Amino acid sequence: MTSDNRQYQQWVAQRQRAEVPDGFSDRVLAAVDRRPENAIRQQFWVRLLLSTLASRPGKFVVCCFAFLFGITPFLYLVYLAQLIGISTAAGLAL
Amino acid sequence: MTEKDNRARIPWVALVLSLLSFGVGHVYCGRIVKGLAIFSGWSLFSLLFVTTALLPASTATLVGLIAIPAIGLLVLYFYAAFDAWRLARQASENYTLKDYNRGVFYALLITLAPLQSFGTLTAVREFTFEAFYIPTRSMTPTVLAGDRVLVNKLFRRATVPRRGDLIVFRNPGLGAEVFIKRVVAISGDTVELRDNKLWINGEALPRQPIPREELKEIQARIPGQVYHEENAGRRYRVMLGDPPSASTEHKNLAPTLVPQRSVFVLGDNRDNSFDSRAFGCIHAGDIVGYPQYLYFPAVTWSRFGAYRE
Repeated sequence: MTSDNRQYQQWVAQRQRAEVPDGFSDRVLAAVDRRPENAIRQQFWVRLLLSTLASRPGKFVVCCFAFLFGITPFLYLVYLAQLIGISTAAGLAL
Repeated sequence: MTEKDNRARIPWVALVLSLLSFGVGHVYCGRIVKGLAIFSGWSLFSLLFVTTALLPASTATLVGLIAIPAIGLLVLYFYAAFDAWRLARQASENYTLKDYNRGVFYALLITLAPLQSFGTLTAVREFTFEAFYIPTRSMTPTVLAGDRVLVNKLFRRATVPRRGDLIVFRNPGLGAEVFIKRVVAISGDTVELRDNKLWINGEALPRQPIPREELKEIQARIPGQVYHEENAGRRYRVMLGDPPSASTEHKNLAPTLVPQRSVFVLGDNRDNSFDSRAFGCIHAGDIVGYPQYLYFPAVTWSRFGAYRE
């Protein structure tokens, strides 16, 4: 029991002598500081996006963009029907 | 089933997806069969055009041809958007996510949709019908300046042009510019003009004047005298006396033999047309197609429909 206890105390003393690399505490503190900052910045953009999408004007704008994208084939059809844009000429008089 | 697999459907997201592309909103709401059926709307549209190109030309066919893409597809687009929004509202809070309820799948459909629609429309223009705007009066009184015509291209390679046919062709000698003219002589024929009278294989084509009253609404656009000309059993209208280029040189042509696989073309406005008298015969391979419908007349909607002689 006494012998075991002495060995244990020696092990504790050895562990307590463990050397910490230079700047270790600074690195830890910097990492701790950086993490919430990133999280806050990310949350800001996500929050902004979500709040924009949650508002009526935001939804309306997104719907308008989707509509503009969705009707482009119809505009192309109107163009092919020669109703808008450059016309293909057929027939030339002197 | 885990709790994570249950998600409510958001109506405005369904609406946006459906506005982006036919049917994607339905896929989002778990209606994949209906969604993909709606998604293929543009492809079905191309089948309609091919079918129409095979049908005999008629005004009813033209109405269908215009109404289905212009009105039908537009109605389908708005219906799909409204229906997707309604389905999302009706979906319970505990909507069970399907295997295909993934952002990647929606993105794939939205990416494929323009390829499908633009590809379909381009293929229709290349192989079945192409629309042309007519800027000049060289084909008056048949085709007036400002008319828009639909040209059937489906069997342009297989069809042998006949005398009296209207054709649209590219003239390789003039920077591949596109023209619309009438075939008056085909390969093996000898064509000749004597004081604006057309002779084919040594015979003058019969020509009857048309009273101006018969021209009805287009009278104001007809500066000369209109005749019915008969060629190989077909009767069509031609006009003489449009002053700008009525030169003697233009009214006469020495006998010309039309080479193999070629045609001789003239404008119906004989005194004001740049045609085979100027640039020679046209090779059959340069024919783009055959004008079949007048879908947007410059003058009077009574002319709307299939071309009739």
